[in-house]
Amino acid sequence: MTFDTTLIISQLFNGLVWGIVLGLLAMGLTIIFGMMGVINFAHGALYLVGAYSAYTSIMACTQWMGAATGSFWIALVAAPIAVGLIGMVVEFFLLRRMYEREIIYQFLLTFGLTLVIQELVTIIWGGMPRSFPTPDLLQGVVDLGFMLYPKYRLFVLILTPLIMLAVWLLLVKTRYGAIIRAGTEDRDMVNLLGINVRRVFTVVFSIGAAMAGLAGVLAGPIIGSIQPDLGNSVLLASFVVVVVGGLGSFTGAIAGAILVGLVKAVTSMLWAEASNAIVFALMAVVLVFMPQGLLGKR
Amino acid sequence: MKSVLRFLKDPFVVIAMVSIVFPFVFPFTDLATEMLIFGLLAVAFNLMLGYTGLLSFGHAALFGTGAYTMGILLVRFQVNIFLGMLASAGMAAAIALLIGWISIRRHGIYFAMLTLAFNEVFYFTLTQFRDLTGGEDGLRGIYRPDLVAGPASLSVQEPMRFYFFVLFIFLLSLLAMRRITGSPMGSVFKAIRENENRAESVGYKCRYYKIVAFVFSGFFAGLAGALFCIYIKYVSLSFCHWSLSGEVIIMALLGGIGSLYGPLIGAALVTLMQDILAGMWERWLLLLGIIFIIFVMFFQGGVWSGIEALSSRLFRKPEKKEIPA
Repeated sequence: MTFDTTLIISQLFNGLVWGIVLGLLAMGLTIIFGMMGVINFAHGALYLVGAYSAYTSIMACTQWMGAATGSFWIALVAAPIAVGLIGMVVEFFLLRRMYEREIIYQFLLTFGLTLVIQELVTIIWGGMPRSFPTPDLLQGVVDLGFMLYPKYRLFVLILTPLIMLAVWLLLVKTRYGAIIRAGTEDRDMVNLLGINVRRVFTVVFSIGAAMAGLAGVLAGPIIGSIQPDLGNSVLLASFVVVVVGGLGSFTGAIAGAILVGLVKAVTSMLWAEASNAIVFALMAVVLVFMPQGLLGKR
Repeated sequence: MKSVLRFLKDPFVVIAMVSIVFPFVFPFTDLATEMLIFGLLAVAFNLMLGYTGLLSFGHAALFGTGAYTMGILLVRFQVNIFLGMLASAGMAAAIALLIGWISIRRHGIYFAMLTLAFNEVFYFTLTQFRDLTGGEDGLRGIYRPDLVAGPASLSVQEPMRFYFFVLFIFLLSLLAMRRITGSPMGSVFKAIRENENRAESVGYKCRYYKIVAFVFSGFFAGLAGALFCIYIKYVSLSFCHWSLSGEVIIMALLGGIGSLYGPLIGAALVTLMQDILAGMWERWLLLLGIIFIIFVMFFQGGVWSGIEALSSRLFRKPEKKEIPA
């Protein structure tokens, strides 16, 4: 078997792109977990809603404005906001009542939500796959000197780290971020200091949800066609990422995501059908030898 | 008279009696059989969640192991029905041991995530052994063997007979699980659920007990899978899909995870709902999801705790003061 170097490099790039999208999801998962101690099973479903609402907003904008030029950019903003609002509603009406309960019940609640959201998406948009357009501006390929690479993927590769950086700065450099991090350390203490922790929780969950939604929008043109079971595999993959990277750790989430993306890219070159299973096996190995994950807090 | 009354208040006896009468009152024997099989699966699942506090998302793999083992043994070796079921349950227990050995290293939700991941790996592995499992087409050519081979064969082809065969296995399993949960080991399971660190510091090797719980649970889940295989005479990959794991969780929670018998009620209800609603409305899972959320939020004891509250009101007597545990 001979391998073409450019093919390998472009596969690795694909892995990187997929990894970085996963990283966005995993970061949302980690923020929610770090702050509220809840593993959000509905994260994949929120990603799904992100992709579908972006699809709808692209279609609607195209209809109103004729050409599809600006529609993707509107979707890129509108869909995460929509998903963030859903997250806010979910936290406010459902999750909020569950904080005193055992963690497993919070997990089960989000599991039930997954079912409900997935069915709702199927009812609203139908079960048939729908093709997700690539924005006009980002169609085609770019010559990187050593290879040709799709413009859109390159765009994701540049934009996503910027968004991650922005969220990180929000959490580390701003006053609000300090409150969130303090809440992670000691919820009751922050409450005693006169800060409305409940409201902070709502905001955190909604930020996490919005990140899942954004990942959904960004992934849309990469996947090409979207269907209602989209969230499942992504959910599993982002679980793997947070377990490998170490739950609650930001850098862990990103490093884990890139590692998973690359492993997936390499294995899909060698044995495509097994790539998912190998990623899970990676998780098992990490858990056996490094129970805290690669960069997790002890 | 008094002892008869006490005998009647035993939930196991009530369930046995109800399920013996049930097919004569309820005209859909096949559906009733299905209820029993999924009841067995849900009770087996609850050995972990309800008794040991371990949430498994991997029970579809165990159920599927049982079903595939039974199917393959029947198709390839025309195995005896009891031997086949024993082998299927044993195989599922072995898979449970393997998954448990690794998953048990993490606690709580991490454990759930791990079992979910292993369910996926298992699912994938099955797709790879196409000539053994039939791959996406499923395993065909499965038949329902007679209980006793030869001229004096005891056939279970007829639905009512098969129901009582399943009921026999079901009640035996239920008795076994009752014995397990009532034993000193069952108390250790509960101690782990309540406070693992304390159980550990008292001197119990929690890891060992958790794996044992997983293996028992896997054994009976595999048995349910084997029964389902000869009931439906077909095995497909969907038996191992993690969405079935999710469905089992829903059954257990709706019924109530606080007792051995609660999940049974949940399984019966979900199976019934599926049968009635799935034909009318393709998206009936939406309804199930909403009901599930309501139960998780407001009725954590499930239907069973409602039944218990009702029956204790009915059979109220001058109560002896119980010594607080």
